[in-house]
Parts: sequence; structure tokens; C-alpha cells
Amino acid sequence: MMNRPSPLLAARSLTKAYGPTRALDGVDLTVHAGESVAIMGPSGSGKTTLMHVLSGILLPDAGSVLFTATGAEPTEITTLNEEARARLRRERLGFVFQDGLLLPELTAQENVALPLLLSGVPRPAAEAHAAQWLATLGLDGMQTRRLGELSGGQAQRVAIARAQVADPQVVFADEPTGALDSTTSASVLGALLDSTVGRGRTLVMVTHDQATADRCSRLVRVQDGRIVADSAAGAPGAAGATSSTSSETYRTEATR
Amino acid sequence: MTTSPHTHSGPRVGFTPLGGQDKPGTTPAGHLAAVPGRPLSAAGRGASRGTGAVLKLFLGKLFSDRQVWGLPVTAFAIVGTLALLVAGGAASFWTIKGDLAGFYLMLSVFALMLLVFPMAGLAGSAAKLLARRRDERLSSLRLLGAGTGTVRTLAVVESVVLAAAGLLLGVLGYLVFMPLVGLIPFVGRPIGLEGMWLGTGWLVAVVGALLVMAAASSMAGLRRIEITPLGVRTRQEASKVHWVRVVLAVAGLALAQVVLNAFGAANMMVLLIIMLVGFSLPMIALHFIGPWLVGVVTRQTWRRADTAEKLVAARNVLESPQQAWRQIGGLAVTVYIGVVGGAGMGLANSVSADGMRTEDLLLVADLRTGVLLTMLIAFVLTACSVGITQAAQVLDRADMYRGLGRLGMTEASMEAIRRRSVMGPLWIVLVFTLVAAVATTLPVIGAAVIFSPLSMGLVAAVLVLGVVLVRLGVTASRPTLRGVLAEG
Repeated sequence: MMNRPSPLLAARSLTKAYGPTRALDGVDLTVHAGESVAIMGPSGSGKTTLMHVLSGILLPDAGSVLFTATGAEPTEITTLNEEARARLRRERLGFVFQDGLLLPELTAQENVALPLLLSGVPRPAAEAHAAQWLATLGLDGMQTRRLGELSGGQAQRVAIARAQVADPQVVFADEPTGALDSTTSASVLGALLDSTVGRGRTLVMVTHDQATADRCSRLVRVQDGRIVADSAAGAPGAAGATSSTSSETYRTEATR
Repeated sequence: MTTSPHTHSGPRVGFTPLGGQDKPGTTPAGHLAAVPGRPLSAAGRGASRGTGAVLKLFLGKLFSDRQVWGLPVTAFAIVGTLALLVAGGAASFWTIKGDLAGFYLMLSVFALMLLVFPMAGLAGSAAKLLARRRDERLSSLRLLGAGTGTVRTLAVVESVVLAAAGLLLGVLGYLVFMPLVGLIPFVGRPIGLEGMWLGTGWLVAVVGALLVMAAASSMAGLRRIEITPLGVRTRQEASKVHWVRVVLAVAGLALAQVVLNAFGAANMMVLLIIMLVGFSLPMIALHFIGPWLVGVVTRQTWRRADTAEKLVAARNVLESPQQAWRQIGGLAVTVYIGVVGGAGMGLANSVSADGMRTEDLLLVADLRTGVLLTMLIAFVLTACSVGITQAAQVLDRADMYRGLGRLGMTEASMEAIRRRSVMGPLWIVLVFTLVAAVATTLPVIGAAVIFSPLSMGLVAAVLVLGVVLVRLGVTASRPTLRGVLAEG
């Protein structure tokens, strides 16, 4: 068995309830650097809550999330205050949402530069870096375009560039291709995978779409707040991944 | 090793096109078509009946969701209260007897003219808030097949109903605050309850005018947004403010000068008309120049912006300099008159107090009170308008704010952006106005600073208080932002 480095994210015994509904019910999940993890499940299964807790957007009612970035001390996300979690998300994590959530009044370049500016990077440097990322994602020459002047696929590529600009170790994506047609979706997903796992970074993605999930290296299925299947079950990195109620193990298209 | 490199050529998702036309009886539309004598078209009388039914359904549930009615009704309650108090105060001048009755009448009309733009700005903000709060329902209706006419009718009727509810509360607010405002002294005595009471006829007229304004703003607002089955879209393109505005404004100013010169000496009524025309034109001219000026200065701010907050705030303003101006531009003329008038009155009081009749002394004191009060009311109206507009914008862009929070933007940064978006244009207006006041009446202001520093100090205090009020207007919408962020 191969020796693996410390996991990038290690979630243990996560629980989260909204009133009487248990969105997370004792979830354990370990994510290693370089993985592309697709989280699937029916609506209300807890997959988005899981992603939000892993990324520090939400705090769990109980449990822990240890984040160990390369060259940095491990950080227990659940013990950080709101300010520190916001900083962590801004500087160490990247996000891509279904509808991009770009600021319509900003140009593509300004949207991408925004996380760097928020972290205090001087504007010329931030915009230059943003321009590089736009070019990498095939949007060279579109720096000054605004949201209304971009197609859905282009806007989502801008969102991907924004997620990458601070060079995060892990990118969280919530239905990143959910609002796109199948052709554009495949192209945007390719760009997302290239720019994350293609560079040795990690991608954690919530999706409803099996075809999208099939392009990831690992598939985690969530139901009723529990992980019911994990294609990495049994592997060292997945310790505990099936501790909830593992009922089946998937081998995805990508790992066959 | 459990992970493996991702593949970029995963299986494609196949789909079966639904193409082809509906066959009678096989789809919902087909079922409708299959009903004998039941046309699919909703035009004509059928559409009217449909509109009536939709109105009945939605109006019946209008007050069941506080998210829908809470802010608009509150906004119109504020509009109603302030409009009635201002009208009541102004009307009290119309009952003054004596030699100076005509002069007081003229002053009250002048004060009302100065407050027209801030009041229109406030009413407009409240009306826009009405139009935006029903986005989801409007687009859902379009999705279900409701025509544009039905959706627009519903939007306008709902606006008028909510505005009416708010204005009713506004009448209550007027009655509650009447005794307090009535304590302000004019002609040597407090205005009093009797002075502040408009009378039923005028009260109904003011409320009616505000209702018409709500309906008109709602219709105008709907023209600027496109209600589609997929949602309500606002214009994405940044508004351009053309230099032609400046040319038109200069022409307006020249015309005003001609009007004033042509009718130099006349009786009070003619003087009143001259004043209305003569001062309306420069005010309208200023409202042509204002957005252009805000756009030009903010473009410089955007170029120099070195933080995310400054950049986004500048872009916010540049998105629509007209909108930024509408929110705070009403202050320009009021502040100009306030500074120049305050200086003039202070000077008159300090220089000639000894030889003046009691009546004249009272007039000078009243002029000073009136000038400062008008300036303060304009700031209060603007602060309320800012609060309402900001709350509406936060609700409008709730998903965006939540998304920015997830990306790691702090609430403090969001607040800084909102604050700069309002205070930036405000400072532009204030600096422009103060420079204009000093440039045009330097001897008066200079002399007032030397001979009547207390008067100028009072003007400065009102200005500072006004800026603080507008700043509080932004802060008042912070709980709305917090609520939005807490949801998600």
C-alpha cells in the first residue's frame, strides 16, 4: 500500500440540523490533495450542507473539519470565528456556484481580481494576474466585458478564473454546470478540472448530474444526511467514509 | 492509490428532443386545444377575465407575507408622514396676516420648490421598492402564461394598494408628530397644532398626489425592467450620461436669467410666477448637469481605486450615475440656498439689528430658521430615501451578497461598498455646491464668516448633521443585509 500524505480535509462525525431535519448525521469524510470528488444525492440529502461545512461557510452542530494546506499548520475550521473563516475562504479556498454570482457592474477582469483585492494585493498586480487566468481559460480579449456581454459558458469560466486566482489548494463547486447546456457544460467542466486537478489541486463538487460526476476521480453519495456510498471506500484516505451507512461501493467511469 | 487522473472525455449525456407540435389530447396544451370551443388564445375578453381573476387571487394574499409588504409599506408611511408635515408647515405660512403675508407665502412656495426633488426622490425610492419586491411572483405568472398586460396591471395595482396602506400609516405619523413640529417658532410664536393642520381637503389632495406618484413610478419602473418567464431582468448595460446634458443645462440657466430680467418689477403674484419659472429652470438644469458631474468624478475615483471596496463602490455609481444623482442630487440646490441664505441672513442680522423694526427682525430670524429647516428637511428626506433604496438593493441582490459572503467577503467590506456608493456622490454634490456658493457669493459668505461666525457655524452644523443623517440612512439598512447573509 502506497504511503499517502496527510489528508487535505478530514471531517469527522459531522452533524447539522435545521429544526427537526438532520441535514448531516455523523458524516466522516477525508479528501486528499489532487482528488476530484463528486458529491451526489437527491434534493435535501445534505450534500450542499456537507460542502458548506467542509468549506467553513456553515458551522456544524458537532464534529470537526481539519484542513491541512501544503506548507501550513493544520487548521481546525470549526473552531475559527466568522472573520477567520471568511479569510480562510478568501485566501485558501476557491468557489464556483451554479449561477456564477459575478458582480454585474464589474468587468470580467475586475470580477476575477476581486478576491486578490480583498486580500490586499495591489490593483495592478491583481488585475494582471486576473488577465492571465482569463487567458488560461480561453477568455483572452474579454477582460473588459461585463456579465451582460458574456454567454453563460463564458460567465462560468470567469467564475472559475475567480475561484483560481488566489491559487487555492481546494476548489468547491456547487452545481457548476447546472445552468448550462450539455455541450457548454462539458467544456466548462473540462476547464474546471484542468485548472484544478490538472494542476495538482483538489476539487470538491456537488452535482446532480451523473455525467458530470463520472468525470471526477471519486464519487460520494449522500442520502438523509449520511454518506451511503464512496467510490474510495476501503482506501486509506477514505477512512471512515463508509462508517455511516455504507451500502454500496461505486467505481466511477474515471477510475475504471 | 484510490484516486486516478480525471478524464476530460467522459460520457456525453444523451437526450431525446421533445420536438414536434402538441397533438390534441396528448399534452396539457393539446388537452386545452381539444376542448370544443375553447381557443388557446388569451386575447380579448378572456384576457380581461384572466387579469381580474389574477388580481383577485393576488390582492387577497397581498398582506399574508411580510417579506412582500413590510418594507414598501414602511417606506410609504415615512413618505406620507414627511410629505404631510412639510405641507402642513408650509401651509401655516399661508395664514399669516399683515404687510409681509405675501412675502411669507412666497417663501413657503420657495421652500416647497426646494423640497420637491428630495421628496420626489424619496417617493420614487419607495415606489421602486414596491416594483422590485414582487419579482418572483411576476416571473412565475409569466411562466404560467400570463400576458405582459396582466403582469403589469397586477404590478401597478399592488403598488397602489401597498402605497395606500403605507400612506394611511403616514397620516397617523403626521398626526403624531404634528405637536412636535408645531413647536418650531415663526413670526415670534410656535406654529402650533392649528397651524400644522392641513385641513381634510389638502390632506386628501397630498395623499392622492402621492398615490398617483406611486402608480406612475411603478409603471415607469416596469418599463426599465423586463419581466420574462425566467425572471425579472434589469438593464445590464451601464447608463451613459451624455455631455449634451451640460449644453441643455447651460441653455436653461441662460433662459432663467432672461426670465428674471424681463420681469424685474411686478406685483406679488407675478413675482411668485417669475420665481417659480426662474428658479425651476436652474434646478432642472442642475439635474441635467448633476449625473454627468457624478459620472466624471467617479470615473476618476474608479481609475485610482486601490481596494476592492473602492473599486466596487465606484463601479456601482458608474452603473447608473443618474440613479446616484436621484438619490442625493436634491440636496444640491437646498444646500446652495442654505449656505448663501444662511450667510446673508446672519449678515443682515448682525449688521442692521439696531435700526430694524420688530417685524423686520422677526422676518430675518424666520428666514434664517426657514433656510436651516429646509436644508435639514432635505437631508432627512434624502437620508430616508437612501435607507429605503439601500434596503431594496440588498433584497434585490440577496443571492449576490450571500455568494460574496461565501467567497470570503466580510460583512464589513460589503458595508464599506454600500457606504462609499452613497457617500461618494454625496461628497461630490456637497463639494460642488459649496464651491459654487463661494464662487458666486464670496463677498457675502466672506463677510458672514467674519461678522457673523455664529450663523455660519450654525449652517456648518446643519451640514454636518445632514451628512451624519445620510450616513445613518445607509446604516439603517444594515439589518436587512445581516438578515440576507444569515439566510445563507
